[in-house]
Amino acid sequence: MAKFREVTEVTVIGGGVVGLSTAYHLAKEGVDVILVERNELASGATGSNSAMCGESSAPEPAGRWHKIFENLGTELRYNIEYIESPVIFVYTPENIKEMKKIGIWEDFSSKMVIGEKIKEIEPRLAEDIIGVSQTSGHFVNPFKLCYGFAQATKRLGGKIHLHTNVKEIKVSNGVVRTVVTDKGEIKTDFVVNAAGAWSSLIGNMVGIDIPVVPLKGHILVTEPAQKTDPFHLQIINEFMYNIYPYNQRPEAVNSNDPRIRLGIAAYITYDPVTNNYILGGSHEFNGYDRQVNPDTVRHIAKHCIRIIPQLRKINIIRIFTGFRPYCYVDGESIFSKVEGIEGFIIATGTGGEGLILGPMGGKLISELIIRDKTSLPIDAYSFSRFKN
Amino acid sequence: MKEEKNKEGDIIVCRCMEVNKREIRAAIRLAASIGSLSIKDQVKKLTSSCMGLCQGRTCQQLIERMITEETGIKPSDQSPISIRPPTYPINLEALSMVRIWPSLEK
Repeated sequence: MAKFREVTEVTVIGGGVVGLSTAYHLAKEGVDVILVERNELASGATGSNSAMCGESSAPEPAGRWHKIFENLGTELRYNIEYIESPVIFVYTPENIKEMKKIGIWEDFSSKMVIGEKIKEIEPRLAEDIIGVSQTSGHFVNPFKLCYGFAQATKRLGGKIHLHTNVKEIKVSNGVVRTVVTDKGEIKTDFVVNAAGAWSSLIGNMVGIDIPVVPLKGHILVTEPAQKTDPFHLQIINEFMYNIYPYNQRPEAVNSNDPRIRLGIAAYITYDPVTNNYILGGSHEFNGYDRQVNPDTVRHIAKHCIRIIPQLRKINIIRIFTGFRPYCYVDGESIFSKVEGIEGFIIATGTGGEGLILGPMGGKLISELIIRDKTSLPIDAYSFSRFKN
Repeated sequence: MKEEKNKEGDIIVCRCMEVNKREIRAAIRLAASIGSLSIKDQVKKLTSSCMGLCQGRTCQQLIERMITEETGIKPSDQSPISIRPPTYPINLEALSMVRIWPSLEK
C-alpha cells in the first residue's frame, strides 16, 4: 500500500478518551486534525476500566471536570449511556486503622454514616463494616463515549488513522515538524501526546522523560445480575481505593501483605444497560505484561466477598487487565506544553481517572492549542513541575 | 425498507445479552466507518454481544455473516474477537479459593 503524506495543523497520538476528546474539540473549532492510533479505539486504559464516572478524587482544579459529561451525549448526537449511579464509600476496620495512621481519619469521620443506618443505604454490606459515605456518580459506556467522539470528529472534518504506529517525531530548531508513522508521514504544527500508558515512549522520541508508567489493573465481570435487586445501581467503593495510587510505590511489590503488594481495594460497579457487575481492583507495576495474574484475581474475589458476602455465588464470565497511565512522581495528570519543544503537548498521567478527566482534559488542550490559554486552570498539571 | 429495519429491532442475535439485529448492524457500520480492522471485536465492545454466559458460542457466526453482508469481508478473513478467561463461568467464591493456577505468592 502506498504510504500517505499528509499535512495538518494538529496530530493527536492515541485513540483513547483523552486523544479523542482533544481531536473532537479541535475539529469543532475548525482546526485541521489527524488522530493516529496504533491499535483500535479505546484499546488501552479507556477500554479496560470500571466505567465509573464519579466526582474526581483528584484535588482541585480537576475536581469538577466531570461536569462536561452532562451535555456530552446531546452534543455528540450519540447515546454514551451516561446514567446516574450513586457512589458509596465503604470503610472497613482495616481501612480506618490505616486512615488513622496516615492522619486523614478526622477529615472523614464526620461525613460518615454509622451503625443501623448503614443497612438502609446498602443492606448487602458485611456486618463488620464500620461506616459508609455517599456521593454522586455516574456510569458511562467508555466504548460508546469514544465512538461518539470519533464519529463527531469525522463529521467535522477530522481524520482518524487506526493501526498506525508512530515511529519518529522530527523536531528541528526546537519546533515539531513531522510525525513519521509506519503508514506514512504527517507534516504538522502540533503534536499531542495522548498515548496513555505508552506516552513515555512518545516522549523519548523528542528527547524528554515523561514520568508515566503503566499501572496494571485487573477487572472481573459477572453474569447479568437480578434486575429486581433495588440496590444494584449503587457503585460501591472500598475507601482505600481512592488513595491506593498515591501510596503505591514500586517498592510495594516486596510487601508480604497481598493487599499492599497487589494494591487490592474492592470496587463493585454495575452496568445499568447489561446488568453485569464489574468488580475490581488492583494496582500493580508490572511493565506491559497484559497477562491475567491468578493471584491478583483470587485476592480481588476474596476482597469483594469480604465487602458484600452475598456476591459469593455470582458467576464470573470475563477477566481482563489494563494499564493506567500513572505518574510515579506525584500521581497527578500532565496536561501541558513542553518548554523548549514548540508544538509538543502532553496529555496523560490520568492514572485511574482518565475516563473522568479525559473529556474535559481534551477540551482544555484544544483551547491551549487554539488560544494559548484555558477556560479552567491547568497549571497544576504542568510538565515543568518535574524539573528538579 | 423502513418496515424491514423495524423488524430487525425485534430479532435477537445475542440471546445472552439480548442484543438485536438492528443494534448489531449499527455497530458494524459505525466501526467500519472509523476504519476498524477488527469489526467483530468492536461490535462486541459496542453492543456487549458475545459477552454473555455463552461467550459468543451462539451469536458469533450470525454476527460474522452480518459483517460479510455489510463489508464484503468473508468470515474466514475477519479477525477474531478477544478471548478472555475463564473458559467457563466460575463463581466468585470458587475463584477466591482457586489454587490450580501456579501460585505466585511468596
